[in-house]
Amino acid sequence: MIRLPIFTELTVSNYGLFPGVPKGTSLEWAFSSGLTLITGVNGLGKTTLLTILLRSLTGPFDLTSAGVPEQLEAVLPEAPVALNSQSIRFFAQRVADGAENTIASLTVQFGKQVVRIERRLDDLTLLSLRVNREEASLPTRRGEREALFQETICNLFGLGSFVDVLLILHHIVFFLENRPGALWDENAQRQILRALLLDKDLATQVAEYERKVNGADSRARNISTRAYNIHKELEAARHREALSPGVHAELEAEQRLLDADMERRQELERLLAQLDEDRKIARLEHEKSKLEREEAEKEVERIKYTALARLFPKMEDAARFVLLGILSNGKCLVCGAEASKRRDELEATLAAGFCPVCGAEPDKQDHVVAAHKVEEARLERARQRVEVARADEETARKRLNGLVEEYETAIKAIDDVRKAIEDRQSREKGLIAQLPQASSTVLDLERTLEITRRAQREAEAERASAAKELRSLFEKGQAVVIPQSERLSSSFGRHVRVLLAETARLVRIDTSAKLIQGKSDFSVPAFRPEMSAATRSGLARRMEPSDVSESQRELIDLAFRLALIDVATVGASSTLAMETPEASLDGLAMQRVGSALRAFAASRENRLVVTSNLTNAGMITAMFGGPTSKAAEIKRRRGQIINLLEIAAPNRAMERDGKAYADLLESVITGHQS
Amino acid sequence: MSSSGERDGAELLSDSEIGVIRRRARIIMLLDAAERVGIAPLNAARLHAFTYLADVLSPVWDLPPFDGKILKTEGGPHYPDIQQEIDRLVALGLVEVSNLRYLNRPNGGARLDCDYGLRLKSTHLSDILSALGASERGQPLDPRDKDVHAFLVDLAGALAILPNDQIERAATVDATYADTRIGDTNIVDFASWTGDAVKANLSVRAAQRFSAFLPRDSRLSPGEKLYLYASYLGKRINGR
Repeated sequence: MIRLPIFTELTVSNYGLFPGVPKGTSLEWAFSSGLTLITGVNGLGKTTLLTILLRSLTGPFDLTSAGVPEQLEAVLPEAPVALNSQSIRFFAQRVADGAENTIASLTVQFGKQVVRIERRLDDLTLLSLRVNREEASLPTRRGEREALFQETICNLFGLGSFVDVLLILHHIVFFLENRPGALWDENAQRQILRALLLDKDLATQVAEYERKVNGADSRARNISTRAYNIHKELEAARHREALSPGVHAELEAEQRLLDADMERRQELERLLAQLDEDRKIARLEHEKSKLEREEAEKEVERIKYTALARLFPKMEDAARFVLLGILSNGKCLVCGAEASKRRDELEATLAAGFCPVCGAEPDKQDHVVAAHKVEEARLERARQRVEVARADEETARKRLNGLVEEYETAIKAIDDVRKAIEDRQSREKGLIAQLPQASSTVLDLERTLEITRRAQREAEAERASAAKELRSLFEKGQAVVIPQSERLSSSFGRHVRVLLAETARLVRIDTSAKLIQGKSDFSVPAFRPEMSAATRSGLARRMEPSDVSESQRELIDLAFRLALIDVATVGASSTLAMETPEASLDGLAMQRVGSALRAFAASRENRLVVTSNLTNAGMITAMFGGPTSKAAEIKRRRGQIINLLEIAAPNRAMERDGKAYADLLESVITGHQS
Repeated sequence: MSSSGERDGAELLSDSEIGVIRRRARIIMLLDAAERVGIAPLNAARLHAFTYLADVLSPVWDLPPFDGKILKTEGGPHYPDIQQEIDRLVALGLVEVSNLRYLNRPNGGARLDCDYGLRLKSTHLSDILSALGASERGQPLDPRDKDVHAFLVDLAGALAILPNDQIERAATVDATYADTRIGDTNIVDFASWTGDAVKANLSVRAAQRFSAFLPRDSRLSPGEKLYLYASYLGKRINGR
């Protein structure tokens, strides 16, 4: 089982950025369960403090030498990558003394195990490592020391590799300003699901074979480029030596056209793959829109049906059905014609209590039990929904038809270019046969080309064999991930309901891991959000981050992370460290997000570490539990704050407006304007 | 098509109009098959389930499916296009509707729940059935429709071995529809744009595998495969 870190204590000593109160003391903090708020204006060191927490756990290593990228590559590195000197000196360059005596000590709990990590902050050297109160004997060499640390942390997490530890730290535990997406980045999502849900041996094997396939593909492509260049060189040599200028000129022209055709084919194949993906999404949206339209129409029908049933209890179902078609959709079920005028007439007839079939007056009818009263407001809403749903269906249909047409055009173009290539290759062969016997240079190049092509075939065979193994590993992985998807979706649903005003759900799709360029034949499960929108009916699938607003993107991602924590830790506790969660939110959204984060912080032994620059006070107050005037509660809230306004070395803003910021913090704590 | 007049007539129709007529013809054939094996009238959910199973199992009879894809939704197969045409057939007096009521859907909206059967009193029905190869008298417009009809009757007969309320559940446990790799609100594509229809149609693969349990010289007819597959679905429903 996966264990996520629960921060319990942090000490930062001799760091110029945090001189402490009184000055010259260390920053010491005990993270009790619930919220820890790091407050301060820009430049006081909020990000630095969160980065200390992060780097205590990563040491001088990460997924790339510059830290975590915004989007992950298709495969993860085989081993943690040493940070470049700029990243290592992140803490040193913030203070005049280069942080040469600064030490950070972080105590973290993983389930029942406790680890204390002590590092120098100027170069992230590991000074000591204590596991369950027992001091680890650290090797003298720095590399070996970090290797021991990484192995220890990896075991504490219950993950297969330290690379996976880095992945989880960046995509689950820390939600820093660059916010690498757990949900929106398809490579990151695949890797997270692998690391969190598969058992560690399988997770490690999958990562290893992904690298093998990707590496073999890259080799095969490089060799193929080399073969292509040798082929060009060979043609040039043949050209130089050609004794038949006419044949040669023809050959050269033919080859130029062939090259152009090859390039065009590649381009078309890329386009076709993209169109195939697009048309499948368009088809899905069209099918969903049809269903949504039907359900909306039937809702109108139901309202009308209820009215008819009350008014004419004996009316035959078929007759009622025909009337319903007109009454609900303004379309005649018999001939399919537009019949809104007839609908209005019928509604008027019904409202007066006349029989809609024979026109009999109310007092001449049997079983008339009530006047025709339809809940107009409800009906109006239902009708509006139908209008939107129909417009959506029409848009989806047009898009689908357009893409299907484009796809077919692309297929035809590929077919044409393929035929052209075959013709040219055959003409080229004929022309080559007409050339005089080759010189030793040409023979050498021919041999080199043959050897290169053999190497290419070998790399392709290696790729195919690794791909076969990977496919079988993916199948095993699928069998583990799929049964968890319902829990993941329902947990996501719970979180997103609180975080977002719109309705959203998480759906599982079958997608392809793009490990071989231009091919998509590794089927893996993935998750995508579907969300309602003001101008659309039903829930539309959002494939790209650009399909939603910036704040929706972050909140959906946050809900996904929280759901992953629930599922992967089977309800155990965790830490979530967030940098200025209020950054992209409007006022009302802040209340919701504040409450959602408060719920996370209040659950189990969770720790929520949040930084805030006090710009959006409402959210922080909501995280504390709303406005209060009670002295005990105010004292408790103060105890949850790492107040950089006091602890950090003051900058210009603090020197000038320190009092105003302190008042602002006060109003955030109480929820009352000062 | 047997005469040039009919050919000309067909050319006048747009693709979408042809689609409408094809759907209506399919519904009439499905309801006729249900009638013949005594499971009519069919509840709406049952009719949609039968429609789906007829699509996914067509290859057992070497027939192309009417529709090679379906949107996987909570509660089982449902075709809005087909539903639209059933409604129209009711209005046209070819299909009878009874026990009309509406069911709530999870995201708001409603769905019709009623029983459908052919309106045998309709004066047009026998000509239509005959043109569709669903009648012993007369020639169908397309000779292949006779096979389609025979397949649908066979399938309806196979499904008739299940208690009535299990037919719609049979579709939800069907090997292709229940394939866990495809989550809800995704397209189950078994013969539409799939690269490998044989691989994608798990139901046909399951139905074909029954032959493996027979002695070497014996063979299963397509009808027998359908019966065996239907009883397999029955067992899955009952957790055996």
